[in-house]
Amino acid sequence: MKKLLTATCASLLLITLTGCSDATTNVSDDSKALITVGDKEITKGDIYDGLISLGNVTPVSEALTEAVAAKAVKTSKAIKEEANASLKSLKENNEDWDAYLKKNEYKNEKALLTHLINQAKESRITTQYIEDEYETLALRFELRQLQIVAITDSTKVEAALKAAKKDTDMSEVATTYGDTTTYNGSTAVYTNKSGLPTAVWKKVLKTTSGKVVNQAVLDTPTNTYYIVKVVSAKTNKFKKDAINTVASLSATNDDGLTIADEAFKFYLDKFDYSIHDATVYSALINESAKYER
Amino acid sequence: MKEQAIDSLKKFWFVILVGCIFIGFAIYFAYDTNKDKIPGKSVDGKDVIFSAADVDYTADEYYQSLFNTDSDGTKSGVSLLYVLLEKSVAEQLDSTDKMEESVEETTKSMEEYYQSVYADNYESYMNTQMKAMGYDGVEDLEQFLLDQAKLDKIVASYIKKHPDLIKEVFESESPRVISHILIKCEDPDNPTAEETAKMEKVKKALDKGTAFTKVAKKYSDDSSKTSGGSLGLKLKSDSLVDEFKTAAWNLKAGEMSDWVKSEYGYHLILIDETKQDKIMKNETYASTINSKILTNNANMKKQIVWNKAKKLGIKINDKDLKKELMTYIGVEK
Repeated sequence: MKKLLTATCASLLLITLTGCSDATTNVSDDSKALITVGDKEITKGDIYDGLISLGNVTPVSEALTEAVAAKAVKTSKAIKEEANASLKSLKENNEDWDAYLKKNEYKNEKALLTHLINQAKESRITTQYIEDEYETLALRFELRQLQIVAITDSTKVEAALKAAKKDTDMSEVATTYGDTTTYNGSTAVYTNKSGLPTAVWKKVLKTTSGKVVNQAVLDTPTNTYYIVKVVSAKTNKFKKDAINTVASLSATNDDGLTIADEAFKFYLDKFDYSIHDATVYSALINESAKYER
Repeated sequence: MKEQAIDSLKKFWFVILVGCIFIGFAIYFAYDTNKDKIPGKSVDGKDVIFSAADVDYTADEYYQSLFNTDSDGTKSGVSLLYVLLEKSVAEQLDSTDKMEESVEETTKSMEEYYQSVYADNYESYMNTQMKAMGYDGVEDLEQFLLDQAKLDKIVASYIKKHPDLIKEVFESESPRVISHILIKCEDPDNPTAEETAKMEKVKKALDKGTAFTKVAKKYSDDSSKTSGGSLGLKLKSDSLVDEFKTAAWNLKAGEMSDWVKSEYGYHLILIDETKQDKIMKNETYASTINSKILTNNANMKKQIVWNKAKKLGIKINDKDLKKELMTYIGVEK
């Protein structure tokens, strides 16, 4: 009995200790000599380990982005058209087409087109994420479709608000009373990260679709009055515009991730991302927290 | 059998209980220790770097990508291959006692310098730099410097055999060994009485025949005062204050300027030497000229290393790789 117990404990201890180190990777045939100079050898492993330890992880992040885009974004007609348009433009700008392909290391035109399609898909990861998670993000960013007029001349405010409430076109209100080009009364999607003054945003959230915020809101630091019409608070009615608005936000979330990083991380989690080299992982994390497991 | 087991349980119940508790702890400890560890993975015998979206990206794919052109037009695999080739060649060159002594001193001063600049990040910074040069880390600094000194020696030897390269630098750069005395002024356009008096003292001392170096040590406000005002060898393309440069390059060897006004104050400039043979006899100055030659001829060092590698016996099995490396070095054969 004692022997059995001792053996069990020893095995467990061994299991515990053997699993203690982080994994690293090796290239196949790592001891194969690439160059022999005199009595010195430079091996495949020397090149592989050298560049990994230098934190040269661009090929890894590129491959990861390509893998994510390939699965997250469908090869739609629009993507094919965009890729074909890029191909056409490249052809027009490079007279010696074969030389261009060779110089850029594409086996043929088809390989280049595949690359362009991948590129187009990669550029859509963020918008795809916003589309996939639209309801959650619409709530989080409190999306609203608004028409805003900003006025610095306090004598014009009352008349402007009156005009807005009478359903006068907000662009016209802006032309007549407004004095900033940023808020010219045109329809646009705004979020709680769009940079509108907090006092204005609070009023916006309390106003229903089709209504004008009941008063002109003064932003004290800039001495600017805001007259806002809530065109729509129904987020599905302006989904396309909202996706582009959210995708272009540069604000970061609590983890320090931009919406683009957040999108990338979302798909990594969804697509069972796992990393198997501690040095590569450390270098990726140094680049961005979006690579965190 | 069953009774025997029950008897054993009764007899060793405490040992079994302790054993179970221990096993439980061990299992939990094993789990807790390893839950955040990065696990290894291989597919078809190849190490996997990452898995995601049904893709297993292998170490072999990464290695292959190192020989594709980067966005900056280079191939990182080929660049590192050359760095390692240079290191391999250097390791097989002979060093001299003088070289080793000098490297030991340089290593110490470099360590002190980088420690003062990078403080706590010193080790990590130096490790990255050393790895980029194909060495393991900061512990190889002395070896790295020694290897560089050995390479400098073969470069110097090559240049010595090609006087046209030296001539070219002397024609374009008109190198000269320069000394100066600086009297700093708060406002060079309106020197104070004190500043003017100091300038007069300098002139008086020199007129009396006191050596320039001695006067510089006594009166100059520049850090060069410790070396008697010597700025060492300067090239026309060096970064110097315009007024200083114009005056210095209008003087002949042995000539001294009058007071030259600059943004710092007033300078007296002395040209110590301009002759090629005398300059090239000084190791430090010759090294400056050699560095300029290397700057002007981007691939020269690589080609010198390549030729040395050929003499040591170089073998590259992969024809494509050989072609890539030769293109990088800039040699055809």
